[in-house]
Amino acid sequence: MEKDENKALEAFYKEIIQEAGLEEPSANFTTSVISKIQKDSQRARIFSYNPLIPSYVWWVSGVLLAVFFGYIFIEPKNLGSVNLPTWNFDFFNVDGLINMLNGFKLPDALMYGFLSLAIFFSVQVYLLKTHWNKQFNIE
Amino acid sequence: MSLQQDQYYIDKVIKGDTNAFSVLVDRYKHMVYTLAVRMVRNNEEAEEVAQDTFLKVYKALPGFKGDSKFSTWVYKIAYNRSLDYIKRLGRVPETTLIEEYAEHNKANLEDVMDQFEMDDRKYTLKKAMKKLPPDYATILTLHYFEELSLKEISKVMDASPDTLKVKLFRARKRLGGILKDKLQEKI
Repeated sequence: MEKDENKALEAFYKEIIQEAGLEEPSANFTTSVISKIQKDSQRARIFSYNPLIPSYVWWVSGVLLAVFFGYIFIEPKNLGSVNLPTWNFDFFNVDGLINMLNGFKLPDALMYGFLSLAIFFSVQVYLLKTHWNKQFNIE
Repeated sequence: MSLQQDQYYIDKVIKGDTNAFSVLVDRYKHMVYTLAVRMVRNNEEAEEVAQDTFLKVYKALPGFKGDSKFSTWVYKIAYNRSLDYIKRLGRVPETTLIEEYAEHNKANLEDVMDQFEMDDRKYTLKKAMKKLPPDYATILTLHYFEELSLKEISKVMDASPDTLKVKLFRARKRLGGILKDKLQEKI
């Protein structure tokens, strides 16, 4: 009995929902979709990735580098000694600088403050990166 | 529509024929738009969601493996896009925890429907469908209009057939209740 009633209800709901029918989208629905797709593919072409240095330049540079190092290792006799200029670095008083910082002690509070700032900064870098990635991500 | 009938156009689209996609859009736009309207409950917003659904379908088409029917796959995208839209606007998808309506018997419901004039019936039914929570409206449309099985709907809505069976029962009760309320408003 209950089964029959359930079947009758099934049939009833089917009938009324079929009667309600489907909603009608705007007349230019398909045209809009297709033009959006075409616009998107044009944009994709404009923003398509082009490397700053083309691959053939990398190949040529690689070959030149290989030739250069090959020449150095195979024919070292051909290379004369190179005289590098000598500079005097005495003006840079390292000992004096170390002595100046000798009595300096960083307060604990300041140290923890800097440490916390560094941690917050690292977290923020990650969060901002994720946020911007989402912003510029074209699904 | 069988997968074979769609596959010809799917292959053409993947090969770069954008115009072949218009055949697929024409084939499914009514159902996708209906699902969107019944979920977001606003015609202009639903149009946007439905168009967005087809853009997503177009982009994801090369990844369509054919494990399910093409239509089921499209409806799944439409359902998820509508849900995302509702959530993005901060509208919490309504769910019913307390069932305020009792299941009506068929004779009772037929009486209710007979009270509406013919012209009024379709309009009232459409309005009643829009009043349902998004999940309920989706299940009823897919099950009774598109005649999808609960197993197929489970692929669209990502829920088990058992859960959907309960939801379908509740959705029917809710729709029956709304129709009765509409009749009382009219009287």
